[in-house]
Amino acid sequence: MSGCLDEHGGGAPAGVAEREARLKAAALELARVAERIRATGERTASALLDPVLTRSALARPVSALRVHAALLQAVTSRRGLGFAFGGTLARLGGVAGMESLARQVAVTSLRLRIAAVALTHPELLTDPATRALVDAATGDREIEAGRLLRAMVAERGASEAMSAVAPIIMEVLAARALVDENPFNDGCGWAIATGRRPDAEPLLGLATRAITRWDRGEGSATPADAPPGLTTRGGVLGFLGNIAALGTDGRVLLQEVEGGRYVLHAPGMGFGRPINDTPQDFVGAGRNAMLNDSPYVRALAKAIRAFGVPDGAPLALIGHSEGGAAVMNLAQNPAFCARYRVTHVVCVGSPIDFKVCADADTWVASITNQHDIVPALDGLGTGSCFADLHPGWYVVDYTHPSHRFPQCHSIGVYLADLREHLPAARAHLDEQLAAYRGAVLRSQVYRLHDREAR
Amino acid sequence: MNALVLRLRGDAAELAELAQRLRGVAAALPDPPPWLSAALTDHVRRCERASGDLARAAQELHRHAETSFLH
Repeated sequence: MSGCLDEHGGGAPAGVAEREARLKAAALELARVAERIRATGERTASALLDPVLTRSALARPVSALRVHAALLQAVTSRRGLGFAFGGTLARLGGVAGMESLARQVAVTSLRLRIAAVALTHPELLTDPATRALVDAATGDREIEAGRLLRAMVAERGASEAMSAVAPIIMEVLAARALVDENPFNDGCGWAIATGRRPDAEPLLGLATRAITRWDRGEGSATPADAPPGLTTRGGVLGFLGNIAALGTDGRVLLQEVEGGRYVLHAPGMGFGRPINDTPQDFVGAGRNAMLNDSPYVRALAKAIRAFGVPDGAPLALIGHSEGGAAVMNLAQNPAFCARYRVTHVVCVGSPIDFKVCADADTWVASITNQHDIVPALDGLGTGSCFADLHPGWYVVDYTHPSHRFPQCHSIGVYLADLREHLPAARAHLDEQLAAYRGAVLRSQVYRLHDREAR
Repeated sequence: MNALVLRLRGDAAELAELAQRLRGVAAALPDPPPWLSAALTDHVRRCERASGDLARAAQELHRHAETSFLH
């Protein structure tokens, strides 16, 4: 959610926006400083094993010992760098609860991001339970953080508890990953704190590739019956209405509109079993968010070919949730973009911050609700201070006090919000999609599967 | 003088520069909350201390290099 045009439910006061920008700028500076302190510490620690220094110790053991003692002091002093080793030693130090200056600076950066978000979500710091949770998570009090979260869930229900922390969930998880004793989630904590794509999840540190290894297949697309309620004219509400009509049982829609233009509609993950035979499942959602290729992407490409979209034809890709991540994966595929002219990508509630279109001329819109956790699953949420990732994107990162997660993630709520609360964003999207607003000449629904039928 | 001494001196200087950048963050935020002031003060102090630690390590290494085959 970077490069963002914020729509704070009618717009935040100018003073608040300025303070938020200042806090995020400070958070960004701290993140960069933390990275450099970390690199400096690791370089210094590596000097301890420098082969030339080790060989010289044979000739001058006493002075070599003094050098090693000074280096060891530099990379372990609690009043300096702290435990500054990298690699396996860093993990062992984490298990033993050794802290480092670099991590502390990174956590301060994350706390600043939380403070920035709290300017437009004051309930984060005025609600005693949420505030206590933030303090515990950022203060290396993991057991207390877990107890507080369980108490919030018991008292308010899972939905409200998750909604309460949704706008800062990635900052809280990253801070916890940096300060807890689990060495496997450290890399994820660093990635979120410094604006890089994580290659693991932040709770346990399970690698992305381990989670997504069950999402395999060449992808397939077979024609299916259309559900009732598909639109006969283009426009962002019509396109999102189509996605709502499709549901999340593996179906996607292709439409040809007047002027030889084509629109692909891709719904998100279906609830139920985490692994099913369609690409719209939990493991598929994880794969599309964190990696660049998937059975969903391959199946979408097959549906486009089956629909007979001519080479070079202009194509708009519309996706919700996992569908948004999947269509962005198509848009960043150079071979796909060499064959078709992807003019527009519109993603709603999708984790797409680390994706980059192969064609620089592709216009990208990202619509996200700040209480929706799903768009933050790639590591960048409302509190992101890395605003330079996609300066050309049209980003609407909005909030509304009545929203609850996971309800606010549904396509129906996004549709209603664009219709009722975000008229300026809707008008801008329709203006950009003007070439696709003609009459629909032809529609075909496809049912996607992970694998071809045997 | 070997490359390791130069690297350590460079890193000591870098940490001193990072301490300055941390001071800059503190100065850029009017009315910072107490937790932030305390955190930044601690970070600056530790960064300066770490810079001194590396400078001392570089000095020890330099002495060692002068009396061995390192230089």
